[in-house]
Amino acid sequence: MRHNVAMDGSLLSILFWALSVSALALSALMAVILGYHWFRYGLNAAAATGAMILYLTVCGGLLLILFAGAIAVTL
Amino acid sequence: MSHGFHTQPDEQILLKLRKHWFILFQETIGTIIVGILPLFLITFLANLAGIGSFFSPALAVFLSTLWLLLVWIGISVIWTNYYLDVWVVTDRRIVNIEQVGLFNRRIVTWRMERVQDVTTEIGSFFQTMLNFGSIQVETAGPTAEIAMIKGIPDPEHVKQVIMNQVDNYTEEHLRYPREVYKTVHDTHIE
Repeated sequence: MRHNVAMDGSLLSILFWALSVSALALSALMAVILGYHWFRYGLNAAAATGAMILYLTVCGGLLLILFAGAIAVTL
Repeated sequence: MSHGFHTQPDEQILLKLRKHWFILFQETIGTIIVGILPLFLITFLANLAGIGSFFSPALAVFLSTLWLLLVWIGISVIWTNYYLDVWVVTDRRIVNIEQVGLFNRRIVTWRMERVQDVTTEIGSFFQTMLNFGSIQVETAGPTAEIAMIKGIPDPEHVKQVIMNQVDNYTEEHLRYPREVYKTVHDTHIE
């Protein structure tokens, strides 16, 4: 029988949601930091925008899967 | 586009270099391997009798995605550090812009007249095949120092450009005092 996290109470649910929200916050923070470096020092505006779109697309996709996973685990 | 330093109005940029692409490739591949290994581990553990019952598919997806997100952020940081490490040779100076981590940026400048010697080293199979290596710049003066920059593409060419510029610069700045001396000397004789 598969283990159901929800059976262990809300503590693990909170843990999974906290992890998901932390991942979202970390991704957003890194987007700001990396974006600052790309726009300020390294790249021209078009290349920096392209790099940022790529970064956010991958992060966004992974975060969607992560939150879907969190929902599936805690339900 | 600014790398954190500004050229003087009549200063000419001769070379602008980044580390060889193989350096970026090496670091990225290392991170990707480290990123993929735990996924295999999770799959392996999930298939093991007993432990497998703990890993529901949703939990495996959750943990894998979380890990992949961290790996992706790591790769972005590696790429940023690679891209922001720049080496600029102008007709007056050599500027080494080094991004160490995300919040530490170091810009070192060596003026051409202080450059004494430039040594190149190509020291491994991949460096020989792909023509990249390290350059060592020895500077003179009260704070004589040796600066080493690793992973520079075509180091022999770079060395040639620097040494030519050092020669030009020295010649130019020696000629001027000589001309002034000659003018003053000639005036006195007349």
